[in-house]
Amino acid sequence: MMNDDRPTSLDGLDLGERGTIIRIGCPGPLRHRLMDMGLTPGTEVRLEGVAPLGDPIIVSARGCRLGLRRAEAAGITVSPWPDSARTDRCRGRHRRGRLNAASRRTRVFRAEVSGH
Amino acid sequence: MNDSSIRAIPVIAIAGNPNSGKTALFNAITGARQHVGNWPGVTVEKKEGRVARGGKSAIVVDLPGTYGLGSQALDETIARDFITRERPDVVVNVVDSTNLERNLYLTIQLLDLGVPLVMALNMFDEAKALGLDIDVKELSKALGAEIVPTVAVRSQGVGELLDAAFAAISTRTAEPDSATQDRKPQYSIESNTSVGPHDPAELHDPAEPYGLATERRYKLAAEIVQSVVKTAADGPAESPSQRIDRVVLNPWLAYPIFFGVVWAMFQFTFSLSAPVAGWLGGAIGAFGGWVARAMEIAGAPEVVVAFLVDGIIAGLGALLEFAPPIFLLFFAISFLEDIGYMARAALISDRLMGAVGLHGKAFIPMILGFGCNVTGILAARSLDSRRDRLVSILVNPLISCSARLPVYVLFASAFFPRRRGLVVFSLYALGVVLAALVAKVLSVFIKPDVSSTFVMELPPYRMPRISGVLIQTWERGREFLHKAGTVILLAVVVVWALSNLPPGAAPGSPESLIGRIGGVMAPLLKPAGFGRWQAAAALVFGAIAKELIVGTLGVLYGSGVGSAPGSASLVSAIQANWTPLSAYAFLVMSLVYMPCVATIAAIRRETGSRAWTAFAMAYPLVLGWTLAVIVYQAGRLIGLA
Repeated sequence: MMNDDRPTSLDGLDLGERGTIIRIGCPGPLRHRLMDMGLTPGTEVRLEGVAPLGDPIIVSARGCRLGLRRAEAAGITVSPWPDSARTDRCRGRHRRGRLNAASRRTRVFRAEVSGH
Repeated sequence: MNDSSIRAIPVIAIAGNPNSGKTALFNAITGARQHVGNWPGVTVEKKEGRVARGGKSAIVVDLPGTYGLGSQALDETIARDFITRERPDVVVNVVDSTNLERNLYLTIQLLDLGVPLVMALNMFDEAKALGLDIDVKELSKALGAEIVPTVAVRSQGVGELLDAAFAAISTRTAEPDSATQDRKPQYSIESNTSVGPHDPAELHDPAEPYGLATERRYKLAAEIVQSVVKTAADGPAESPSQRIDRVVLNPWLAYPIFFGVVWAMFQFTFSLSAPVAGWLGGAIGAFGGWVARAMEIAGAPEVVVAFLVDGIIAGLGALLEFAPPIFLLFFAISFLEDIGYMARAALISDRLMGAVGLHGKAFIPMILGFGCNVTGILAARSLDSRRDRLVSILVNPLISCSARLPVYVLFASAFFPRRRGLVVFSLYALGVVLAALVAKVLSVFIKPDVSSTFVMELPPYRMPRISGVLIQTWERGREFLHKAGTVILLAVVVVWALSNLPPGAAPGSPESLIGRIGGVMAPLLKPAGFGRWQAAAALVFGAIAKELIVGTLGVLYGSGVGSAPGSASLVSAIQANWTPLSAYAFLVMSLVYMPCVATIAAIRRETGSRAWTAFAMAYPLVLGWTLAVIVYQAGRLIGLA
C-alpha cells in the first residue's frame, strides 16, 4: 500500500486512478501504434474501467478512451498520482485477483519495479 | 513514378483519424458517384469518387482512417504510400474538432511530408456544444494551412471546403516545381528547433527515433491546442458516452445487453426479410411460369424452355432471395458501427474469443454466421490481422446458418417429435463447439502475421445519419450480389444439367447423372448409416444450398419439390428409410459436411486463395463424415439402432 505511488504498469493502476506515462516498453509495432494514438511519455492517463471478464481494460488519455489488453498495458510504465483513485482500492484489487497469464506476468513486472 | 503534373484530372485525397467523420465527408462530397474496390494487393477497401464544382472536376480518394502515418501498420502504409508515391494534388485532412490534440498529430505528420493540405475542421457544431471555442484563424496561421469548419453529416461547409481544395490545386499546378519537391512544413509554432526531414518517401529521419518524432509532434499539437482553443466552463465530469458505457460495459449487464443486441439484429434481419424473400420467390416462380408458357406458344424446344426456366430463372431467383436478408444485415451492422456499439462489443468479447485464439472483433463474423455464412465471412473484413481473418472465414461454415434449419426440423419431427427442440439445439451447439475447436487448432498452425494486439479506440456514441448507413449498406450489398451472383447462377445451372442429363433419363431418377453420382457415393456413406443414393444425391444438392437437401429428398421420394418439412408423405418415406440413429448421423453430416456454393464463392473471394478455398471445402467433408460415422457406430455399440 505504501509503495503505490511508485512506478507501475498501466494495468497496475487502480480503477479511476490517474498517472503519467514514463515509458512505453512494448515491442516495435505496438509501441508505434500506442504512441500514434497519443500514449507518449509524459501523457496523463486514467484507468477508466475494466471489461466484464477483467480484460481488456479501458484507459483515457488526451481526451480519448482506448480499450487495450492487460498484456499490452503491462508494457507501459506509469507513475501514479497520489490519491487519485476515485473508487476504493479493494475493488481494484478484487479485479486484479482474477489472474490470467497476462496479468500474472504483469504482477511479476510490478514486483520487479517496486522491488518486492 | 506517377507524376502528378501529367495527370489529366487532379486527385484529392481524404485523410484523417478513424471516427473523424471521414466517410461522412467523402459521402457528402461524392454522393452516390463512388466506386468501391480494393487497394492493390490487399483486401482493404479503396473508395474513389468524382466531384465537380465550378466547372472543375477531380477524383476523390478516401484513404484508410489512421492515427498516424509513420508505422508499419497496413492502413498507415497504404495511406503513406498513396501520399508519397501517387502524390495527390491536395490532401483534405479531416479533423475531429472535439478531439483536436489527437487529430492534429496526423496533421503535423502530413505537413512534415510537405503535402499541400486543406483541413476540414469537422464536427464543428459538436465542439461548440461542448463549449470549445476554436480560433480557426489562429489555427490556420499556426499550421500554415487553409482550414474550413465543416459538419459533414449535414453537408455544412462542404462547398467552401471544395473551393479551398480546388484553389490549392490551381496554386499547385501554377508552380509545379515547388509543389513536388523541397516543400517545408509551414507551421509557424515549433516546439523543437529540429523540424522533421522532408524527403517525402521517408517520414522520419533515421537520426530522429520514431518515439522522439512522435513526442515532438504531440508536444506541438498540445501547444497549438493550448493557444487556439478556449474551453468554456469545465464540462461535466462525465461525458454522456461515459455514462452510457457505465451501463453497456457494466460487469452484470454487458453480456445480457450484448446478446439482446445480437438477438434484435437477427429479428430485424430475418423477420423483416422473410416476407420479402418469400414474395420475391413467388414472383420469380410466376415469372418463370409465364416465360415457359410464352416460349411453348412460340414453339421453343422443351429442353431450352426447361433450361431457361428451371436453370437460369430459378438460379436468379435463388440469388434474389438472398438479397433481402443480406441488405438488412448490412444495414444493421452499419448502424451498430456508426452508433459506436461495435467497438464495445469487440471489447467485451475479446476474452471469450481469445480462448480459441481469436481477436475480440472476430465475434461479429461468428454471430452473423447463424444467419448466413456468406455475410459472416464478409464481416471478417473488419479484422486487422490476416490470420484472424483467415481463421474466422475458415470456421464460419461450421456455424449453423438459417438454411440448415429446415433439414433439422424435417428429421427431428420425423424421429424425435417430443425432443425436437433439444435435437435442433444440440446441432447448433455442436456447430459452435466445432467452430471453436477448429479455430483453436488453426490458430496454432497458422502463424500470426502481426502480433495479435487489441488496441481500440472507444469512440463517443453518436446518433447515425440514416443516409450514411444506407450508402454503406448499398455499397456492401451491391458488391456481394455482384460477386456471389455469378457463382450461384453457374452452380444452379450445373446442378440442373446434372439432374437432367443424359437426355432421355427422367429428371432426378437413378439414371440421371445426379442419380448415378448418388449411387457411386452411397457406399461411402454406409458406415454412417445412410448409404442410399437418395441421401447421397440430397447431400450433393445441399452443397449448392443447404435448404435443397429437403427439396431434393422431396423430389427423390416422389412427394414434390415444394413439400413442406412436415409433409406427411415425405415424413413417412424418411421414417421408412432411416432409423433415429442414422437420422441424427445424417443431421450431423448436413451440419458440417460442406459449405454451400455461395459460401465457397465468398471464401474464394475473401481469402484470395485457391488453396484455402479447397481446404475450406475439404476439411468439413472429412470432419462431417468422421463425426457422422462416430455417431452411428458409437450409437450402435451402445445398442441404439
